[in-house]
Amino acid sequence: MELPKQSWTGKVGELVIGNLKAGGQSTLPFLDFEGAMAKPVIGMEVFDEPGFAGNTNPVDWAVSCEKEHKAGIVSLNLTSTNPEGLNKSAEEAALLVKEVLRKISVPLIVFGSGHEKKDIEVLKECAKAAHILKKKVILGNATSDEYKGLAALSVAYNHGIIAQTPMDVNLAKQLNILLTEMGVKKENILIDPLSTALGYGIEYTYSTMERIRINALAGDEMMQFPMIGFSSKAWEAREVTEAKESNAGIRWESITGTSYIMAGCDILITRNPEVHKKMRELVKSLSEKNGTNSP
Amino acid sequence: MALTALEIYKHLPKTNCKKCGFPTCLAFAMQLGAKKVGLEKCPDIGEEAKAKLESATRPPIKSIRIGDLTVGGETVLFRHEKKFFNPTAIAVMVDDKESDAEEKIKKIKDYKFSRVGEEYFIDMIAVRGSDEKRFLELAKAAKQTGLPLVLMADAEILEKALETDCEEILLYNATLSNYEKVGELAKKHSCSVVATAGSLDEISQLTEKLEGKGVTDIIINPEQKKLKQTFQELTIIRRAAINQKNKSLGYPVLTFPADDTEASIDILKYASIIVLDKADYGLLDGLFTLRQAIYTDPQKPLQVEPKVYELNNPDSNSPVIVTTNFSLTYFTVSGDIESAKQPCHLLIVETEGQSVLTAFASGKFCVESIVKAIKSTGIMEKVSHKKVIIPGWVSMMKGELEESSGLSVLVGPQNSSELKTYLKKPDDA
Repeated sequence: MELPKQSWTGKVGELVIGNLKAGGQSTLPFLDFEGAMAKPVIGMEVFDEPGFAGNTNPVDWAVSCEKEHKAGIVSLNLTSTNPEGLNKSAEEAALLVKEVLRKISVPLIVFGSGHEKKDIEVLKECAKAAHILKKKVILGNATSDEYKGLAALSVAYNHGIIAQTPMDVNLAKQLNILLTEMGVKKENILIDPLSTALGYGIEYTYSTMERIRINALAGDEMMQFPMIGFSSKAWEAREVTEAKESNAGIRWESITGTSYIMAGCDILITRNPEVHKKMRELVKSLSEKNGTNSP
Repeated sequence: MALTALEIYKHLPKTNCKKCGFPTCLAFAMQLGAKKVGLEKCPDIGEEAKAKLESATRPPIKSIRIGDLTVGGETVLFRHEKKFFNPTAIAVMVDDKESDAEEKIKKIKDYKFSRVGEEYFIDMIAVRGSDEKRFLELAKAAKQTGLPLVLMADAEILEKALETDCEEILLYNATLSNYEKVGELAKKHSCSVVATAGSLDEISQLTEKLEGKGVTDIIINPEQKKLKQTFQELTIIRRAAINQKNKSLGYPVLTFPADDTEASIDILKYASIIVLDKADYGLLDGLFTLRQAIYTDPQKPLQVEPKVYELNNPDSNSPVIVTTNFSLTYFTVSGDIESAKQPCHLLIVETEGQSVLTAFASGKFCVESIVKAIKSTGIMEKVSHKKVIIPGWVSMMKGELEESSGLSVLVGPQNSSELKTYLKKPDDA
């Protein structure tokens, strides 16, 4: 039979930090019989709040993500900077970021606590600190309401930024336009269409990712950016928080992560080490050369 | 050859009985003409009419009925293009070498999963075996559950398991070497048949040969390969059927996923029936949830009626809580209120099935729509206070909503699971 190949005119942009390459593909996920596929990067998340998920030290935690679990990227959540919580200062946060950057060799994503006004102060200090160490990091999140601060940091220090919009293809495109108009380099943008847990709107995230990717491949330059997903969201599901069985969370997160990878997610941030391992194995299977050449 | 709706209508019963799910035979004819629905939805269509219409109206992936179960009938590559029609049927296999096979059959029958107001059960039991006596015992036990079955054995053994009319049985399997014999069995007993081959070209040959023998209810099964190859084959089959109008591959697909990951991929990417080894309830909960999500019609997110829901027998002092009419939102929030045993008036606002965050971003859940809902339901006339509680995620609406409504707006928690604690606190005026 004649393979039903699709010819795409567009290509996804590539975000590069050290050895990490996210994006760059010229076809839909893993259909390498009709184009160049990309290998999704699987990473893990870390929280700086002491005692979170049994971890005492975020630096040690980040190191173990890389050394023990082979995370391709680490996502650091500076939740202790929340003014309604521990309210750690931007300077303290920057010191932590410096320490982590000195100890790990994989790239780092830095998030504030979700409190918009405080976050921009925190991320400013962290961006500067990383720059002084000559390390490129990824900062999150720029949103339709608050993007100028992060855009300025990206332009000043050449850091990557995560552009987050709520599961809407048009809003995602609009934010990309706003960012590039402010001078953010295309290769520094990651699209986050807002991750959801399995059973809590995953189909919205899934379809938004598919649509963004199809638009990119069809030639829309303002969609040609790699995407990021967070399977860690799965742990918020009632099915996990109220489960009697200990495996429930691992299963819920695995299915969530698998779905994002199949939708075209280029960087997947996981929470559980077993899930992380499973997702790495999935990427390995999908990267094998034994795909279909002729059916 | 494409038929017009009127040409199709001539062959329909014209009773407007609505059993197909459409209000009139003409409406059904229009859907058939657009290949958006399968002919099998009409239970009263005559054999002659069926034969005439089948070829012209069949969707790119044929729709096959196995007992009460319908699989296939698909028309698009991506759910956002329209929707996926018939959810992947989930089957669990029992092998005649398993020592606790009868218990497993019971476990399969007993499985029930409820979510967002819908109930799910395992769709099929697959019985596999090579010991005739044991296989027949298990096939009988499986048949007693009332579920559609996949019977997996040599043709000689299959023959013994079939009675006269077996529309709820799927035979596994016909191959290029035995299709005449298995095809005959399928025709004789009105069963569907799984057509297995190693390559997609061989599958095409096999389906053409089966159709040539008058066997039309076919489910195709490319021999299971490694994860990547099977995934690519599923995509190629769907594309060939839709983009190349390749009828020889235009059939529902059956797979045997090796683990959870493959099972998830198969549900996402085009499998019509997946056969699992184990009745692992935890895994099944996850797979049914994924299936429910992916097979939701993107145009019609599951939604509930916008109105006031009285929970735990509220009175005029009970709080008024506002949220959106997305099914999941409603069931989660009302579930939390009910388990908190707090009486409350839950005001559900029309947001076309969008969740709080999405509806807020899209403008459907806003000051205007909330004020409109308060006015049209007259809820504030039923209570002696002037307070409404809004979801924590939209706290920024508080000021403007207070101005527009003249009411006192309290900001609730972001997560409804915190309502239990929130509602027990004495209100801040």
